[in-house]
Amino acid sequence: MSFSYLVKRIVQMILTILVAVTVSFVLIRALPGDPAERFYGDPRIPEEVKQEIKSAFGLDKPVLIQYLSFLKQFFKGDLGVSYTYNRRVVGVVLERLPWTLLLTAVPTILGMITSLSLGVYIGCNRNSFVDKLVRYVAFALHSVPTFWFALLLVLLFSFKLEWFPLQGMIDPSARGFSSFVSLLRHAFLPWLVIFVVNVPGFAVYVRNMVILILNEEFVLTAKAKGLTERQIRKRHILRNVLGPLFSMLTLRIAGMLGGAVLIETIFSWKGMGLLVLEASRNSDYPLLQATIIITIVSIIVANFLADVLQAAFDPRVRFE
Amino acid sequence: MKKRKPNFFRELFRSFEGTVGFVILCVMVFCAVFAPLIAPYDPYDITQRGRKLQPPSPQHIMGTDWYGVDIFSQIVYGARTSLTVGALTAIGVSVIGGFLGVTAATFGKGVDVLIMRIVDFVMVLPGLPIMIMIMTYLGSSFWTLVFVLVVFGWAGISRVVRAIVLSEKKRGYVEAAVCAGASKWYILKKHLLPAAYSVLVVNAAFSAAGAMLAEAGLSFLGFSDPRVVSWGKMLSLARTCNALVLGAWWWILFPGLAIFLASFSIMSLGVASERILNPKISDRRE
Repeated sequence: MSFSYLVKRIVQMILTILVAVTVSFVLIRALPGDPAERFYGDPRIPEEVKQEIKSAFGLDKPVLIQYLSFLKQFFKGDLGVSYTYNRRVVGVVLERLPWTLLLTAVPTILGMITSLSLGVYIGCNRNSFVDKLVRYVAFALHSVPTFWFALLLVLLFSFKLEWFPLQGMIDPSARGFSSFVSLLRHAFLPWLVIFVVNVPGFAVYVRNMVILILNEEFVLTAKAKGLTERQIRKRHILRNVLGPLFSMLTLRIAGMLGGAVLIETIFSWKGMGLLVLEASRNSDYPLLQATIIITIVSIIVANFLADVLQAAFDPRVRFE
Repeated sequence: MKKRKPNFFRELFRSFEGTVGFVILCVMVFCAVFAPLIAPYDPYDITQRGRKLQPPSPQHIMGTDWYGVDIFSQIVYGARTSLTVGALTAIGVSVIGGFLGVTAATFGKGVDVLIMRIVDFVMVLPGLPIMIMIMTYLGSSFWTLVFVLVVFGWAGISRVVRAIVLSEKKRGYVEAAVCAGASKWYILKKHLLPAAYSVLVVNAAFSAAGAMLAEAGLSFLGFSDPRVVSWGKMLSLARTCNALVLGAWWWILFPGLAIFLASFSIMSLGVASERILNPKISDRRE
């Protein structure tokens, strides 16, 4: 991969992050109330104390100075203190991030692998029964509210059949290996929901790519030189599908870094999504803002990684 | 355009999706408009409550909830909320997305770059968490909800409209119109915009379906107008009242089914009309 391409993308990424941070600064200021209002909002507080609190937060300085110090703090990784946790928000958010990753990445990766093989199969057998079925299910699934589907699964498997726990992440009394088993039992249903909801859509995506590739001349050449169907699928189709699919995988996981809010709510899974909701219910503005800024920055970085990786694998991307 | 209308419906009823979508949607619109006549009880009237948590029976065909409110009546009234949110969002998204797409394509250069950059940015934002943040600040009301859904919905279509206008601009007949002395505005109105209409219509259907699902999700999380009955709010109430532990399956099953059917019917209509209006695009997908 060329060095200049990398530099260009890095500069682009930093600019986007800067824009995102600026937008969030402007939004915070544009919305009614300021960050310190919580501390002086009580009308009984005398004016001098109010001013003192304001200057302690730096709110008496010009907006530009405030903006610069906001940027400085952001790049130092200081996004304020949470009201509810009484701790630095960054710490609170970073504690939640792995749980969300565990919840979303596992079924997304498994789903990608499944839909890759399914998609190549239905792409090569266009308009077969399986193809039509998968496409129809994918279409219908667009309209199924994911959280409702999750509720139905809980109703069936946790309430009626009692195979899985109703909610939570790990049984607190479990130790060692049994706590791992407990984690798996708790995670199974949310994983199943994300997996089932994603697979048909991914498969149709792969299928459409396969159909485009089948029209390429290199496939014709491969057929002409006598490669078997199996060899063509493996060497030519699969290889061309992998690149875009991999970058889609990165983006999918990044898109869910903000938490699968609805699923986390239903299963009481303490991830990023539930954190956003908690912060909103407790009016914990620093926590709310920090969670969202961190999510956006992670998404931008993931976007960057996806682009660079795809360029590394596929020379066509670089030269476009 | 005038000639196409009767043709369009004949084509629509020829396809399976079109017929199914149209019929379901009509039933839902009918329910929404004549809700007080169809619903056996008034969900807003606290004197019309039955016994709580009744399973489906002849008196309450879909049972009752924790407060003794008839589920079927709530679903009939909920159609109003869902369909209005869907329709308003679809209109908002089409108008704003269409306008910005056309603006980007017509003015080009700096304006184009700026708008497309904003589009890229909006499209990577994590929708639900940010919607939650905005609704926390502005408070949850019906109009905030529509506003938020439009803000996150316009980006995709504006990119498509821009591409269509750009490619249409290069076609011979537009150049001929320029040579004939037509003004920029006239060309835009007469030639460029009509080329984008079909895509806008199809996208409006998909936006409406997406908005109804998002409304359900946000209401489920508790961000709903406290004054109106909606399907998402029924599910939210079912969750906070522990319907899962009480085994009140009817309280969960029916509202979700309503959401599914509403979204499904509009999506089907969208797909069917795409096949009629843009045969080229749908051919490629087949």
